[in-house]
Amino acid sequence: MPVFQVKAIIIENSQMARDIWRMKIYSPEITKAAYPGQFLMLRVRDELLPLLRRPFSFSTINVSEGIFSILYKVVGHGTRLMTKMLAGESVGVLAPLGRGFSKPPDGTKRVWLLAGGIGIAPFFALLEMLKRDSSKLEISLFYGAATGEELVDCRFFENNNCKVNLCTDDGTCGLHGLITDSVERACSLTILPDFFYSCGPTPMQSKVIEWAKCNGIRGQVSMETYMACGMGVCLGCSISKKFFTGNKNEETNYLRVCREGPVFSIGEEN
Amino acid sequence: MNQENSVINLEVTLGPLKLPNPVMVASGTFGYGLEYSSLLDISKLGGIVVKGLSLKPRPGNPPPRIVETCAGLINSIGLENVGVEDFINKKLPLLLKRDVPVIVNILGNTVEEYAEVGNILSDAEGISALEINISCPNVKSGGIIFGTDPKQAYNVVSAVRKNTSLPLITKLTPNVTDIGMMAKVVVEAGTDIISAINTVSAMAVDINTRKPKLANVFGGLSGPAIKPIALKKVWDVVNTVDVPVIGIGGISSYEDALEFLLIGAQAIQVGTANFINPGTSIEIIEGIRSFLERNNIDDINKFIGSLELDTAK
Repeated sequence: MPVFQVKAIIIENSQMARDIWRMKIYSPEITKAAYPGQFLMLRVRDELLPLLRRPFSFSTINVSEGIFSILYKVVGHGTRLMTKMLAGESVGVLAPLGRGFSKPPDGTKRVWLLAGGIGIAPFFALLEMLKRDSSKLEISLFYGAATGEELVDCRFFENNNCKVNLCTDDGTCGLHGLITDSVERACSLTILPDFFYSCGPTPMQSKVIEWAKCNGIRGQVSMETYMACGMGVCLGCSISKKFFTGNKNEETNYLRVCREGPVFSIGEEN
Repeated sequence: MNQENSVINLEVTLGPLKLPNPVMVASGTFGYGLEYSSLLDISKLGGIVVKGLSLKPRPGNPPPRIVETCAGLINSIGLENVGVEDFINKKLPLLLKRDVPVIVNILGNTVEEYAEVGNILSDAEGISALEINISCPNVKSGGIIFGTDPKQAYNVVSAVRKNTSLPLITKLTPNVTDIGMMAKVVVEAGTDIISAINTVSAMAVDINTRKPKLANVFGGLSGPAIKPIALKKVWDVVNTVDVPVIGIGGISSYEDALEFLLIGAQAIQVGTANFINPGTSIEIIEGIRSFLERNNIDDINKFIGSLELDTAK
């Protein structure tokens, strides 16, 4: 699998919700090689602050135009600088990296997408892939954020026949509660999915994995961690295998989110 | 390489270790050597120091293991590695095909473990040198860091020395009062070369969660933030012992590399910068070559240690 280290031109950089931005970047070679669920390491600028590249998942992958996009949340110095960048400027991109999402098993009818906060990012590209491969899939999105102002526009999902279920921690939009509350509620009202994809903060993923195991549902989770290199070298992004298996008695072994992930399978051997 | 470039000599000789150029990649920042090989021609490097190896595989520390600070990176990876046997069987054969000097960093929790790892690697074909990481805790002595205690440092280095005829590098920690004294001790114990520095002991905390930012509470700082500290420590070592010294610490550009060479280091290692731009070391080699060319210096050895001090008081 090729990895490219390039300077790429920003096509667009605009705000999508409170503290949530989308940056579109032109790079035909990366766009062509990228797969939903994979990520890139972005070098915001060639300065000492921030020092390291920042990891972002591919949010949209438009091969015909040679443009991909990332959806990012403004959380620190690096992402604050990113909001100041303009179309026409260039950024350093190292990509595509890691293992992305794979297709649901044959015979899958219902798929749930579970997105916590900025975890919505890779689901744009994933939904396109799922629809392209199987137009008959019944797909529902469960999407939550701290508050309504932090939810990005979901028309893309609705327009692709994906049922959207929103929730917020403060109740300002959709169901009042966490994404896992929203999922639990849906479980009691409708038929369970055959497969799920989940992306969000680690505490959410932990609950999602527990829910999936209790209900015997297979799926894939995309993990968020700090990374220095993104290429399996620094060993800074490691996560315990136990996190996915739930088996507290097994020997501690670490998996690199950047290489063995960021997408990990749940309900089957990794 | 064009004709004009080829007349400039970059080869350096560090006691028993000859390198095609003075730019190596530091242990822990280049994996087992091949992870970055799709992005750059690793055979151009002066040497690859592979991730520190212990007798048995080590899982490493719980996450979070890294945190970025001002122009620096604090890590507490916990010396995670595949173990020496796995390295020799699976990683080394692939790396040796690349025609680049392979230096193996070794570590242990006891003097005996260091000695045994050294012994095993001495029997493996193709390794150019061993680098002893003495920044590990000694489990038999209440967790005292080998490299901060002269007696323990001596014991480790002399134990490895007895077990190998490979060129021996000892990598010193900066977290001591007198690094020159530690340098003397490891030279007495039989090291051929000294590399310095390892990471600077550091920590970071979060005022909102009121928790440390690393699961291990503290870690080691690397990156441009430590370069001036490293330069002084290397200076202290260079001026205390006669063995060749490899400068390490925050080197990200050819100018940084030349600073260490200027004060007397005979080679350098690039660490954290590899994470940001895997091609950094290659760019540094090219940068050094151009610098020498611009300044009409035909041999890097004429630049090494050429710092001019104003002796008039």
